[in-house]
Amino acid sequence: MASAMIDMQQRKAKSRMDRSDDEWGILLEKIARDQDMRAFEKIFGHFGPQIKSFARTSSIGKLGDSFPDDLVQEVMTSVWRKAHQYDRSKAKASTWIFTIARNQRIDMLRRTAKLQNEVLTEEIWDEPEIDGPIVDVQRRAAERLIHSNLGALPPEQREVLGKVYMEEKSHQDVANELGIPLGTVKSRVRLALNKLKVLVEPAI
Amino acid sequence: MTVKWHPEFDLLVEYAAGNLCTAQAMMVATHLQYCPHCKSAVNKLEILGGELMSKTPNSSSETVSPDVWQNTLAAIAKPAPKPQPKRSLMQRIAPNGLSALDWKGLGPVQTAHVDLGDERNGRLSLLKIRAGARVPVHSHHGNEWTLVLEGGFSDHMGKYNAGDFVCLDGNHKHSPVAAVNEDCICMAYVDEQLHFQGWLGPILNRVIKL
Repeated sequence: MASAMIDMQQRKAKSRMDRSDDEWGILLEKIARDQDMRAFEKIFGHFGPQIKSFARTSSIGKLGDSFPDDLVQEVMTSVWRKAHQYDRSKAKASTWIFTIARNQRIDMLRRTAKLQNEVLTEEIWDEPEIDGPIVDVQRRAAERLIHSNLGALPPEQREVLGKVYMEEKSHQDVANELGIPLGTVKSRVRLALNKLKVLVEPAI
Repeated sequence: MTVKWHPEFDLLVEYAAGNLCTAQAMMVATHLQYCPHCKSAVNKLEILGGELMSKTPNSSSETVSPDVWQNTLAAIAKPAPKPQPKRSLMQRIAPNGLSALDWKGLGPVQTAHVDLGDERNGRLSLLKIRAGARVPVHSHHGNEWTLVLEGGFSDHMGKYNAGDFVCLDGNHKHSPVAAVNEDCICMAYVDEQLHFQGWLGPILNRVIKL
């Protein structure tokens, strides 16, 4: 009886999550279909501060105060222009916007380093999907699992993930900064990724 | 044929986070084209990226000034610049085909430097080993990553075929031998040059450069 209750609560929580997860994706579809300005404003209000924070924590923040704002503007402009490429059945809105922000961050850093690039960032970081490995159901399961388990990670595992993703540090940089061996950093990341079921040993 | 050798997970994490230099990222991205397993892990790492971005410690208190919104509105009102045509990674590496690259080296072992305009951390090259030929014993001071594109080779640790990704660091010494039935073409990334051993070493160090 008790377990049935828990089961039901979990299912309710799950369907709540699906809805909120869909919410941003639906807005992106409205932008694509109707050039819906209200939808765009909502997306901007939700993701703008995230992108700014993402930029500020990274080395873009060190370039100057205006750079994080520039990244917000660039990413949001791309979101508007590329909304027609977004496919809700393939990715959560937050994943899609993260990949755009990540790629534009790379581009911005390359521009400031005056690198002559012979290859487009999105060619290297946006490889066309290989069919099959993550069918829709599996992907949704992964999204739910990562969403709900991220908060439960021990702080030291969360910390290293944050430094790699947000501060664009290599595992070696993180080890140097925290004054711990590289092996410890790697094992924290490995434990975290195991809990989030991101790592599955390859079948040989 | 299934890929048996994969980049370590920390490399996939840094790739998904966007922290690798162009040469390193090119290696990983090309491996992903051969390997649905790693591709799927990268997809999940990108989901994780989106989650982490939504939970950065200060994102709830972060504010974006109304100016940025106004500037964005002005930007989207302008016509979008024409997107640059997308090419495949191999087209970027060898726009006129593999044989048109500037191959250098010694008969059975040749290398061609691939300059993608970003060599902050290391260099990218292609390596061609004639069927059955052996690359002389060498060690590495830095890291050497090798990705098999065509054919295959083996060394004391194992056999590698198309899509296999091998990472060696300064503690390794090896002498790869190409499979006998066809030439082996690899993509290689080094952050420091190789060091060939033996009496021919000094000459090889000058001739075979990745």
